[in-house]
Order: sequence, then structure tokens, then C-alpha cells
Amino acid sequence: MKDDPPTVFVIDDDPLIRSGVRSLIGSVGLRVLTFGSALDFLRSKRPDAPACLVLDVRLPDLSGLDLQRELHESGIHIPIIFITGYGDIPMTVEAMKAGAVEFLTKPFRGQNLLEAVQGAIARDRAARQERAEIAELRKCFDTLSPREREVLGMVVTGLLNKQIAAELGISELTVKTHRAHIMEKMRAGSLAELVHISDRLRSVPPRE
Amino acid sequence: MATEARMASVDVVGDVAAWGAHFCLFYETKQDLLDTLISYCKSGLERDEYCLWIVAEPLTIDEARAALKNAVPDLDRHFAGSRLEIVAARDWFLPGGAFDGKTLTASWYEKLASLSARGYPGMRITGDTTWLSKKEWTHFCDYEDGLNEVIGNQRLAVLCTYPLAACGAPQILDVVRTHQFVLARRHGNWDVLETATLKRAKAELKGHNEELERRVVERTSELMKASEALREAQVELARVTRLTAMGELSASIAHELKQPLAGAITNSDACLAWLSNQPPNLDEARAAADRTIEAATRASDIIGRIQALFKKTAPERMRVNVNEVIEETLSLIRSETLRNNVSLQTELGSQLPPVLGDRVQLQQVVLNLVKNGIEAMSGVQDRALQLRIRSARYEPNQIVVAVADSGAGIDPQVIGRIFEPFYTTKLQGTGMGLAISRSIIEAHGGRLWVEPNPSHGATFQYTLPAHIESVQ
Repeated sequence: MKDDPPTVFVIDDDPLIRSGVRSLIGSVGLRVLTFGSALDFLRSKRPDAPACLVLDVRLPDLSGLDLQRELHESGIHIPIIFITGYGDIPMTVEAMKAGAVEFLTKPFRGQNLLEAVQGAIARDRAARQERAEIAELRKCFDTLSPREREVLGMVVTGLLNKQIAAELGISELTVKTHRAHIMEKMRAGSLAELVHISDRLRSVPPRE
Repeated sequence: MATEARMASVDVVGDVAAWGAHFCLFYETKQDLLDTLISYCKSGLERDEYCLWIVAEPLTIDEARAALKNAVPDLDRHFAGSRLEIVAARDWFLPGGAFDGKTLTASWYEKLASLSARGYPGMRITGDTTWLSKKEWTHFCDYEDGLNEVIGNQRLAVLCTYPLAACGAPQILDVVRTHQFVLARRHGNWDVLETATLKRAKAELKGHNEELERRVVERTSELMKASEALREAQVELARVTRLTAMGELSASIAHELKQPLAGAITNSDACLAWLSNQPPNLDEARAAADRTIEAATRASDIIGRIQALFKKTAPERMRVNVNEVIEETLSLIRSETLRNNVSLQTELGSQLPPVLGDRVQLQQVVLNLVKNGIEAMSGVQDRALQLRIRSARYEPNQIVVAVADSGAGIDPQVIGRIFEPFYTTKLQGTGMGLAISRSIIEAHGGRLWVEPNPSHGATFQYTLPAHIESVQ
């Protein structure tokens, strides 16, 4: 999987902070895109790359928390590092509950921000990887016939071929054939692997 | 020499016969008596005063009249105008054959009243005492003593004459005791003796005057101190109100300060990071250092503004740009609007003339009105929270500043009271903000008032006289 270079989006209405953060993050070789408002960010075309968002809580028009909600509702997954001038606890809690990865209070040290950014990008990279793999598995799963899906569901709950055959009213040999197809289509080398794949698929409901 | 002596005598008696004077003359010879009384009467007649001369043996009425005629050529005119009377002592003092001090005293009151009714500026009396016998002496002394009271504050001067030859030492002591001061004329020579009482009275009067003066000075300085204290108290009240408002906005103010500090730290960190890169990127490092300075300068400006608002200095009158006042104030509390989801719009008029005033106090007014506007919108749910600040030229020589909110508006029932001190509709309000704002604007020669908006909320506006220097 070949991605665009990791990108950090910075949204702050204060130009001095914006350029400071851009310079700081740029110094470690990450790509930085800055925005003066949340709306500018939403309107922008974002590259398909591991990314994170450095977001000021208080912004005119659309606040940082509003943007977080908006992104969540549109299914845009991007780790958010909040920066704020107020160490206001209820707000911090709200942001963290909604999935913020870090909450830095102004003034913050550059190292803390860089660590948070690196962490967030690593996390996003992993999440993207995970999402890609699951999408791949989903693709495999979609190739299974209805009967094969039925057999898969029974195999992973630990039923024996004999029990499955009895349950479905088919021969044990037919069950074996289904299992072989399932293993092949799902690219599973062992029963344990198949169980694991099935768990991963179950953890992410199919996208509508 | 004789002329000089005459002049001197006129001066002496003219001088001493002030209103309220009750004094006596001891004389040696008839001529000494005449010299004195003629100058006494003459100076009274010249001042259009009423003169009564009570003569006693050996002087006769005719002699007195003749002597006076020599000094006052138009004497007949004075007689005709009833301005001068010369009467015999026995007729005056002993009307029933005996001396009656009480009746006599009463007659003085009557005479004074009738003279004052006839418009005389005052009455000048002289009476001789050669008729006095030892038998009447004590009574007469009592009468003389009582006369001091009659004379009191009246426009009346009384000169009592005593022949020195007829007075023994006890009599002289009595006379001196009952009069304010004593003249003595012996063979053309004058002596003036003040009595102890008069000296004491004068000293007392001087003391009273000094005391009065001291009290006036004291009261004046107390009053000045009080008015200075009042002025200081007003300034202090404005400052305390300002500090209270600042305290309520402290979270926003802290945020405004943290913002550039965060900018400085982030840019310094960026600068260090570029320097530690291999190879160091000096251009990036320099740019970051420049921004650090910019951010630190901004922080320092903010501190300066906060400090100014906290400072305890007397109000000044300087040329002030109204728009700068608004911008500076907003720079401290802009995040208060963000915090409350209030959208802030400014429409500041261009090329406004300056006003003459105290920058800090004018910032305080903006601070109060903006804070008020934000608070007025705190309960609003169904519409956008908007605060509009506008400045413009108003009439040729005025500037108007308007702060409009989209809040709940003001109850017409209380609109007349909101500028009263301690009147507040807020749970946490001190009720001083608007009162102080109005007094500040009025002290600057302007007006502060409020009007309801057509749709929602209210607009507070104030005018300030423009400071336009004549271009000549």
C-alpha cells in the first residue's frame, strides 16, 4: 500500500500560532496544511494519507468541538489534537469522549505537540491499515455463497463437520467441500486464522 | 502753632468718635472744653449727623453757640434743619429737679428711634457734668455704666466731659471704669488713655477675629479636602468597578495573553528545531525567531493595556482616537465573545476626529457595554448572538459609538432605572457598570443612552465631542 506522505492539518485563527505550528511540524519533515477556520478546512480537498488534525477549541463561526462532531457524523476518521487557551475540564472531557487523542493547553511545548502529532499519525496509519485490511476481508467475504456463509458462521462457533451436516441436513462430505472453499476464498491457512478473520469482520459492521 | 494744635484736636476727636464709642474727656480749662467740643460737633455736622450738645456752667448756651458759629459758618442752617441742638444740662439731666437714670436711658432709646426714622445717619452727643453733686455721683456712675449697653451697636457716639478740678481720685477711677477710653486736655495738651476694659475688649476682638479667620481657613481647607476626597473617591470607585469588570473577564483576558505566549513558545521551539536539523535551516530558524519577537511584543502590549486599566492614576485629558479605544478594548476581551458564541462585528468609521479624554476611562465604557451586551444575550437560544459595534461622526462636532446586541432587550418598566447606581437585573451584577459609564461619558461632555432595537435586543450609544483644533 503506497500512501501520500503523512499530513498534519492545523486549524487556528491566530496567524502567529498557525505559522509557528506549521514551522515546528515542518521541521521534522511532515507535510503541514494550515487553515484559519474550520469551514476553510471542510471546504478543502484533503490528500489520502495518514494524517492528524491540530485544532484550536475556540474558533469563530464553527468551533473545534463542532468540527469534531461534524467529522464524526460524516464518517471522516482523523485523530484530533486539541489545543486550547482555557484548561476547561468539562470541555476537555467532552472532546476526549468524542475521540480526541490529545489535549494541549496553551502555551504548550513544541516537543509535546510533536510527540502528539507523531503518535496521532502512527495511530492513523494503523487505523488506515486496519480499515484497508478489513475492506479486503469484506471483499473476500462478499465472494462467499449464502450456504458457505452459513457454514462459516457454524465453523467459527466451534461446531464439528458432523454437527454442521446434521444441522443443515447435508452430507459431511459437502460440509468439507464448503469448508475448503471458505478457507480458500477467505485466504485463511488454519481454523484459528479463520476465527480471527471472522472476529475482525464482525467488529466492523458492513458500511451501508 | 495754634492752628496746628486746632488741627490736631480735630483729628483726635474726629478719629475717636466712631459709632458705638462712649468716651470721656477730663478738661482743665473752659478753653480746653470748648476746643474739644467744637471740633467734635463740627465733624459731626460735616457728616450730616445729628448733634446734641448739653452744656453746663460755667459755659452757657450762647457761649457754646457763638464758639461753634466761629468754626461752622452756616450754623444757622443746621439749627433750621433741626440737626443741632444745644441744651442746658439741668434741663436735660434734671428735668424733675432730681436725676433719674432709668427715665433718661429710656429717652435715649426713643430719641434714637425717632432720629433713625427721620433718616439721620447717626447721633453724636456730648454732655458736661459740672452740675453733678456728690449725692448723685453713684447714680450717675450707674447710668454711665448702663449707657454702654444702650450704645452697643447703635449709630451713636457719646462724649462725656468732666472738669478735672471737680474730680477727686475716686471720681476719676469711676469715670475711667465706666467709659471705653479717656481723653484728657490740659492747657491745650492732649492725653489719650485707654481703659483696661477697652484694651481687653480690643484684644478679645482681635482674638475673635483671628479665631474667626483661623476657622474660615480651617473650614475652607476641610471643604477643599472633602471635595478632593470626593473626587478621589469617584476615581477610585470607577477604578474598582473597572477591576471588578476585569475580574469577571479574567478568563478571557488570560486567554488573550496566553495566545501570544503560546505563539512565542511554539515559534521558539520551531526555531530550535530548525537549528538542530542537519544541516541547520537558518532561513526557517530566522523566520521563526522573527515571529517569536512579534508574538512576545504582542503579549507585552496586552500586558501594557491590562496594566493601564489597573493603574491608579488621576484621569487625564489627552487626544484619543475612539476607534483605537474600541480596538484595544476588544483585543482584551474578544475571546469572551468566542466563549459565549457571540459573533462580533465592528463597523468603525474612517477618519474620525480625535476626542479629548482619558483613554482608560473610555476603554472602561467600551468594556462595560460589550460585557453588558454579551450578558444580555446569555439566555438566547432561538437566534444568532450578534454584537455590533459601530463608530461614526455624528453632527459636525460629535462622535457616536453604538453597541447593539440581539439579546432579550430591556423591560420598558426598568429602562429608566438601568443607569442608576446599584440597579441591576443580573444575578451577579454590581449595578455600577452603566452608572459609571454614564458618569464617565458625561464627564467627557457626552451623552450615554439606550434604545430598544426594532427586532431584538437593545443599542447603547454614546456621543463624545470631537476635539477639532482650529487650523489657523
